[in-house]
Amino acid sequence: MIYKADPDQDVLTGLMSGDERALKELMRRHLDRIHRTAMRILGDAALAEDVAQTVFLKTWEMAPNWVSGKARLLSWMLRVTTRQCLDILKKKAPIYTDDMPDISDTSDLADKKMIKDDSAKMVRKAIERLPNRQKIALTLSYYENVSQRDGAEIMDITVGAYEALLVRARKTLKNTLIRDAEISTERPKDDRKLAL
Amino acid sequence: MTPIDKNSNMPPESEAAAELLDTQLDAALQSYTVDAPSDLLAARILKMAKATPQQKQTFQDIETGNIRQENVLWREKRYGFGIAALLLISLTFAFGTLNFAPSDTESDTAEIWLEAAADLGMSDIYDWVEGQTNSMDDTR
Repeated sequence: MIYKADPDQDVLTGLMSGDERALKELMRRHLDRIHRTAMRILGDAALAEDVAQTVFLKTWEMAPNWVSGKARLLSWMLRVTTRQCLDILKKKAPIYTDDMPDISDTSDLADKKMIKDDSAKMVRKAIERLPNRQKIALTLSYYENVSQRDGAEIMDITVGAYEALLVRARKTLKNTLIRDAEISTERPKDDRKLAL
Repeated sequence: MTPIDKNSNMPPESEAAAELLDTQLDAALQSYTVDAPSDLLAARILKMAKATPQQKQTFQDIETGNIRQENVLWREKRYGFGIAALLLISLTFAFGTLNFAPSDTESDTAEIWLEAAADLGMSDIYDWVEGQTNSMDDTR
């Protein structure tokens, strides 16, 4: 795929010649976005900062090798971000896969009860429990407004597969949020049933 | 954000319910915001970048053979393998040539050696050896 215009071309020229001002400018443009993406995928601020740091340092280190016209710099950086996150998630929680069955998770009811009135935390928890690839697709498309074509390229899959991931992500998320809402309202009535 | 209402979890065939759930889901997703990274992060990255040398090797360098120092070791190893392979081929060829070379014991060279031996007075020894051989044949 050939991209005729990269919005970061001006910064790239500076980066390739080792100009630190270019790196500063690149961070001004994209540090928030890269950090946000990592944060949404990982759900951990410290890890997200580590990922953002790695991505920018890799960009700096590899800049002289950059071949213009093959990909947008931001797409490449998002690709590195998602791969770094996937590596961390694989080490952190290997039990989550795309084939995870729809089984009620009753392991952290106390936690759920605590956050029942805090919708943002509830959504965050639900996103954290999404299978990794669904989580990445959702984060890219919903929060970062990445097009499906770019999202597919970042994840190195076909557009069809990317769309399927998004559909599954929304479905899983919906089911999880409904289930959490049910649990948080039913628990006071019937603790014994939910403790199963 | 409006929390997802479990009562709105109507039968799946209800399109209205699905639409409502989609709207609720979008609202729920919007409620999840992320704080900006700390100011120190940018400073930390800049500091580390100053200490991190850029890889000056470009794709053009790779194409023109101007490869980096760490590749020299591998290049030397390759030459070593080449020389070893050449030696092996040479030895195999030499061994084969020696094995298949015709024997020259019946050639003119052999007669020259016999004449030389006779000149040196070794004919008596040959006669003695021949005599020994004949006597051994007679006893069998």
